[in-house]
Parts: sequence; structure tokens; C-alpha cells
Amino acid sequence: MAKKPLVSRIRNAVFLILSFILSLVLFLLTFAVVLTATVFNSEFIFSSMNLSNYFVDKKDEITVSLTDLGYASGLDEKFFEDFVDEVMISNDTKNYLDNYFAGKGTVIDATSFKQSFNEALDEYIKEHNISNVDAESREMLINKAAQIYRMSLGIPMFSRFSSYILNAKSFMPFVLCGFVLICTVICFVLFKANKWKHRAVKYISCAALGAAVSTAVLPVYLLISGKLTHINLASRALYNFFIKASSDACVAILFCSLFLLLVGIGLYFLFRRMYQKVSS
Amino acid sequence: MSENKNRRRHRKADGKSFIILPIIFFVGTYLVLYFALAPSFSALFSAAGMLFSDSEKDYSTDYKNIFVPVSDDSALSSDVKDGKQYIDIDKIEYPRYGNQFGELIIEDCGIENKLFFGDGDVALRNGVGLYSGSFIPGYGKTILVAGHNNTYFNGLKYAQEGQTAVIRTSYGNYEYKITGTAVKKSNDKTAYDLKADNENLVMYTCYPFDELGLTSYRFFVYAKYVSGPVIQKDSAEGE
Repeated sequence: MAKKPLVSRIRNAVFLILSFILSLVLFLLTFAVVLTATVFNSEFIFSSMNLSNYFVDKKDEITVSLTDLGYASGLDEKFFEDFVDEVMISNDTKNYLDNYFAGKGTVIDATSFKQSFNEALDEYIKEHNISNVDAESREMLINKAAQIYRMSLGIPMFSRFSSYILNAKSFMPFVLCGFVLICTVICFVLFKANKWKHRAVKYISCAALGAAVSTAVLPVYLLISGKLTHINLASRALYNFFIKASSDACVAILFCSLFLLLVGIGLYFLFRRMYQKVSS
Repeated sequence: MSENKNRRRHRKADGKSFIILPIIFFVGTYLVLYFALAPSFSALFSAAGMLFSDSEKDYSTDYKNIFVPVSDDSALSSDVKDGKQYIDIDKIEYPRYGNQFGELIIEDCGIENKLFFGDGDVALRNGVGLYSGSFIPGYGKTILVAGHNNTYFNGLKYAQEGQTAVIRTSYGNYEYKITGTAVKKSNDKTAYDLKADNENLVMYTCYPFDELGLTSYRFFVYAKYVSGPVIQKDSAEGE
């Protein structure tokens, strides 16, 4: 068997490295696309909340917390039975998410909650004929209730990683464009530099297949091991939402992986056809 | 003939490369990620450790009851010295946060409540709670118990000097005599002394009673130890 000339071996090595870089960039591009469509997308978050029964669970949690406040402040359990509703929570959450992604901070506006609470309190006092109400104590009660409401609606990870998430979100379009550009340039170089075009197809196919395997490993591990279900969140509503959203994100990555796999397999068949043409 | 052989060899080699190369790329991708993220591994792992636990979180609001009433003479006491009963710390089941481990009774005030370890929401929803930074009865230190003034500690408003408070636990029954009451600000650090070397019971709730709203005042009831088995810590400390 004749040895390949040194130049040819170096060219092959360079094409292999380019193919590997293409695989790596496709892997990163997949995660960037999924991040943009999920974590950085308020619509996705809101729909995941709807699908995971978040607002109903949240209503129950807030009602329990407010009832506990009632025990400490002399309000009946019945006072809080239907005080908060899913619509109020849903509207305030939507505003919170929109403001958050618009970079207006993580503050939850509880003005309407405070107003409703104040009105309900007036009615309660009238109904029960209560005379000894200290204005300061009443104010403290309203503020504490509003604080409970705000704390319940907040998403803890959002405020903790706020600066990272918002910075990453603002950079993401450039990152995506950069990755697409790198992929295009590598494909262009592979086609231009290879006299036999089927070889370029082979390198691109291998890169796509490599990226497919790399992207599939992480979500498959997370879904099979059940690690996601071990997250430590104080709120059950938040827990259900997290499981739903992260599972959906994993499935989205798996779809991207499947797409890369199909592209890789398609290119393999194209390579075979081109190779047969060349060799005949 | 040799041309055909050559073509077959090529095809075979190309077929293999479609499996081997993607696997090499996969390993390479994760090696690159490993070296890129290596400097921040400790931060990432500690963040993951905080976020994830070994098992699924239990969201039930049920509490564990470890309280089994005992009669005054059938405590788990191992020793009697100077008329006092002593009990080894190893013999008692130390309560975990949220457990009901006893009962608090002040007959004169109409109080007969479940006593929890920890003064969280579940505890105060079902009874009164011992602040987990204070001590359990028999330990010889301060026992700080909280309750809501509109529910389980509403009767504290009738507390007076000389009345008896009883704490019943699975390892013995304790009696305390009320020595006084006081109204103090919620942030008043002088209201109780958690470092006290004598066993004393401090019960508190919001003040004023039967008022709508939240206040920054607390009603404190102080009581001194009268009887009950003393927990011997020496055996555990000496080990």
C-alpha cells in the first residue's frame, strides 16, 4: 500500500480539525437556539406556567400563607378563601415577566393586590363590627400581606441570576449570528478546498452526526436519571413549573439533535451517491 | 481485480469513519467543555449542590408526631439525686424541626396545645412552637415558645404570677411556675436570655390581644423551672 504524500496528510488533518470545529459550533448553536426559545423567552415561560397548573397551585400557596397571616392578625380563615384568584396572579406574573425581560428589574407590582386587600378589610371590619383597629397595625398587616404576595410570585432564580440572564439574552442574537457565520465559512472552505466534493460532504456529515450525539447526551442523561426532580424549591407550584419547563427544554434539545442526525444521515447518502458517481 | 479490491477497501473505510469520527468529535466536544469550564467547576458544583438534593422534596404539610404521653413516675429517668430525677440524653428521641414532641398546658389560662420543635408556619397553624435556637425541657437552659395570639396563645392574656405551666414530653413531664409578664417591642433583645444557665420557660405572642392587624409588640410570660427530669449531657459529651 502506497503511503500518502505529506501534503495530503496535512490537508486531511486540517479538514478533520475544521470538521471537529464545525461539530463543536453546531453543538453550541443548538444550545444557544434552545436557550433563546426557552429560558430567554417570556412566552415559553408563561405557557409552561399555564401547562403546569402553576397559577392554580400558586393561588393555593398564597391562600395558605395569607391564612397563616390571618391567624397572627385576627382575620378569619374565610376572609382569604377566594381573596386571590388565578386571573390576578396570572396578570401580575405576566407583567413581572415582561418587565423582567425588558430589563426593568424584578419588582412585582402589588398595587392592585393592596387595593383589593384594603377594600376587603374595610368590608370585614364593617361586617364584624370591629371597633379597635389601630391604623398602624392595619398598615403593617396590609404591607405584610403584599410582601407575602410579592415573595410568592417572584421566581427566585430569576432575581439571583438576573444580570447574567439579561446580559446573555442581549448578546444572544450576536452569538447566534456568529455561530451561523462560522458554520457557513467552514462549509464553504471545505467545499472550496476539496477537489472531490464528496469529501467535503463526508466531513460535514461527520460533524453533524458528532453534534447530534453530543447534544443528545445531556438531555438524555437528565431525563433518564431524574436529576431534575431533585431540585430544591420551596414552592410546589414553582417546582412543577420547573420540571415542566426543563423537560420541555430537554425535549427541544433532543429534537435539534434528531434534526442534526437526519441531516448527517442525509449527507451520508449524498456522499455515497457522489462517491459512486466519481468512482464509476 | 485490484481496482475492485481498492474500491471495496475505500468504501469499508469510509463507512467506518461515519461512526468513528462522530464519536471522536463527541469526546472532543466534551473535553473542550471540560477544559473550558474547569476553572469554575467548584462554583458550579457548589451551586448545583445548593439547588439539588439527594431525594425529591416532600411538599406535604403533615407533621410527624413523636409525642407519647408518659405518667409522672414512669419517665425514662435513670438516676435520682437530691430528690431530682436524671435522664441520659441518649435515651431521649431528640425532635427534628417540625415534629410535635409534646404538649403545653396552662390550666388557669385555658391553654392545652400541641408543642412543636420549631416555630414555622405548620407548627403555629397546629399549636405552639419552640424556637429551634432555644432548648428542649430538661436541658437546663431557656425554652422559648411562640404562638399566635388569636388562636392557640389567646389564653395567655389571662396569665398571672403563680400560675402553673406544664410541658409534657415523651421523656418526662415538666412543671414551671409563672413569675411575671411583660409587653416589649418585637426587636427587644433584652426580652429573653437564650444563654441563661438556669432552666426557664418564656412564652410569647403578639400584643395587644384580639386586635385586628399586625403589631410590633409582644406579650411575654416568664416561668421558672419547678420539677421534671434533668437531661444528663455528660455521657454524650464525654464520648
